[in-house]
Amino acid sequence: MWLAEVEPVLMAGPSSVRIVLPPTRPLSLAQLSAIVAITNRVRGAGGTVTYEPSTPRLAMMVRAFGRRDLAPGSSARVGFVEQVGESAIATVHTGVSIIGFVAHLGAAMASTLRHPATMRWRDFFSAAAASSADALPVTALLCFIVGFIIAFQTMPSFAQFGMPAMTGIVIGVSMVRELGPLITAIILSGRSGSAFAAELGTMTVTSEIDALRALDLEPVRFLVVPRILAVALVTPLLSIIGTIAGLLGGYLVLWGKDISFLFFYEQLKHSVHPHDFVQGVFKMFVFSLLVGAAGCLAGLQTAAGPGAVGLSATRAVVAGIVLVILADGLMGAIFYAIGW
Amino acid sequence: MDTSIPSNDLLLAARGLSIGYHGKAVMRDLTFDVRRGEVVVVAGGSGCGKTTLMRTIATLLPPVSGSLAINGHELVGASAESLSVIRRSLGVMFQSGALFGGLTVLENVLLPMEAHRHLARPARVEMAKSLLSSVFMQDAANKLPSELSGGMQKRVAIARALALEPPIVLLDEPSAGLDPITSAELDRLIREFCESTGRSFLVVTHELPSIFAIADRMVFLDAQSRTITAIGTPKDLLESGPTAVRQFLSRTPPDQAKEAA
Ligand SMILES: Nc1ncnc2c1ncn2[C@@H]1O[C@H](COP(=O)(O)OP(=O)(O)OP(=O)(O)O)[C@@H](O)[C@H]1O
Ligand SMILES: [Mg+2]
Repeated sequence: MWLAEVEPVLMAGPSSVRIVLPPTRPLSLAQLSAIVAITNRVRGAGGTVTYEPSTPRLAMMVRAFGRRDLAPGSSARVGFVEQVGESAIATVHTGVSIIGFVAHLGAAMASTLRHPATMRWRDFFSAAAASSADALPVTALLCFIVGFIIAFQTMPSFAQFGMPAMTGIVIGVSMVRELGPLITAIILSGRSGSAFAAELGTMTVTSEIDALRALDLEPVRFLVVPRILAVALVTPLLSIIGTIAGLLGGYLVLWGKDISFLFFYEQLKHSVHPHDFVQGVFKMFVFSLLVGAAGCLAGLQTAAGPGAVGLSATRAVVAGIVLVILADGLMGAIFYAIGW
Repeated sequence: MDTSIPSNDLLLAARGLSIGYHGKAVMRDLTFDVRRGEVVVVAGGSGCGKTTLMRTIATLLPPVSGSLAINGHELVGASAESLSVIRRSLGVMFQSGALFGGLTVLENVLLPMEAHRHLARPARVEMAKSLLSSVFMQDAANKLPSELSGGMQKRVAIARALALEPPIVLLDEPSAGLDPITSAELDRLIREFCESTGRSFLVVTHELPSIFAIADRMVFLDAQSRTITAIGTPKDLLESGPTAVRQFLSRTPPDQAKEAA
């Protein structure tokens, strides 16, 4: 039964059509699609179609096959509260798996440090370059702008009390202890965290990770350790440069108010202590471990399928930033408690 | 072991092995051996679980149940050390090739040697090059995998699987995507490696000419009953195997077979 054969009949616009089906065999896909096509034509012209024998199964199949494209936006809607709940649960899950991963990672790092010759230095250097030198311009620029904005926003309030120069203290403390490392970590997450997830995710999808395991090369040790060591060693330096850029950005506003650099410098010396710098650098070290681990873990957990690598990169960035901010709060509380 | 073969010649022994994902078996109750110096072909319909079997043997997927001994080491419940020993006694070629995209062809073959063999670098490079030329890929040594065709990538993957001179080599569809000439060359290579070095091969393949050219024995995985329905030489199975296996080996679709009967 082919469409071409029945075409003349259909052209006549019959008002009722009876399709006689072969007795025993199940219908082939080609037969079914012909039946659907005829049914749609006849019914579209206002006619009726009957099948012989007519089974509920056939009617169901014809309905299913004859369906036009699903209406857009017909997928189940998820309420806002559920979404928030789900994302909170997902965050906790990510957090828990990262903690497990970090323990595994710690062991791998320790053993790499004991046998440095087993390290993939090529991966180390490329990750180090990508997360430091390549990230330097954007980090410095963003820190500079943020420093400028903070100074610009706080200056009027201080000026109201007749002491615009106090702005320098705010910039100093906020950039050194908080914003320098934080901005650097967020940029790190967007650049390196996502890159790690995409690299390792692609390797997962193409079975390269499996190939490594089959060669008795532990992927965590072989791929993850060099990347994380690279970011942990170079990004504290990056955050120092970012901090300095932020201070300069802030000073730009003071300079507009004829405050001398020497005065600004003296203010910094009194309000920002060496341990504040150490704190900032230490924070950045922790941030880079978290961002690197979140990126690599997301990459290694990549599922199968076309969008999987992109999804992993997204997860890496989101998890990285969430972890950085949580850790920032936690460390802030701890430093406060121990009076550092 | 309940066989008359000396156990050190039993490179791979599956006993009542069930394989699958997340505790759900795809294939059940598999019992078969691979002996030293033997090429065993695993055949079966698409999607029946051949790759799953390869991944299980390659220690990448835990068996659902049963036992699997590789080179004398039991995989089920293996410690980290014996897992490491098992992995080093296996060479694996994945269905997708799975070459390391960031490394050149030569580096791909060198990598396992750098990691596990104490050879001077010139010796390693020589060996890698000779492996590459045995799969006719010597001219591509400095190319990246992304610059190769699918069939070329597979050949490099075979060279990499042989790099540690493992006693057992697992090849997942080595000749899929190759032209008949290259495929025949590869079959010859597999036989040659097997006969000259006593290495054992477990090869998944659908290609009938390959099966007849290389297999000492064939293990047939049946998609319906989800287990092994026949083990034997391809010739014996073609003549007197179960219907499904004869159909497979003579390329007869089940419908036609019924009509012919
Ligand atoms: N990651 C996975 N998770 C769950 N099930 C899987 C997974 N991979 C494969 N399967 C299922 O396992 C079964 C066997 O798949 P497998 O890849 O082993 O088939 P195959 O015999 O190698 O097929 P082919 O000849 O097409 O390569 C299939 O039914 C498949 O749906
Ligand atoms: Mg397969």
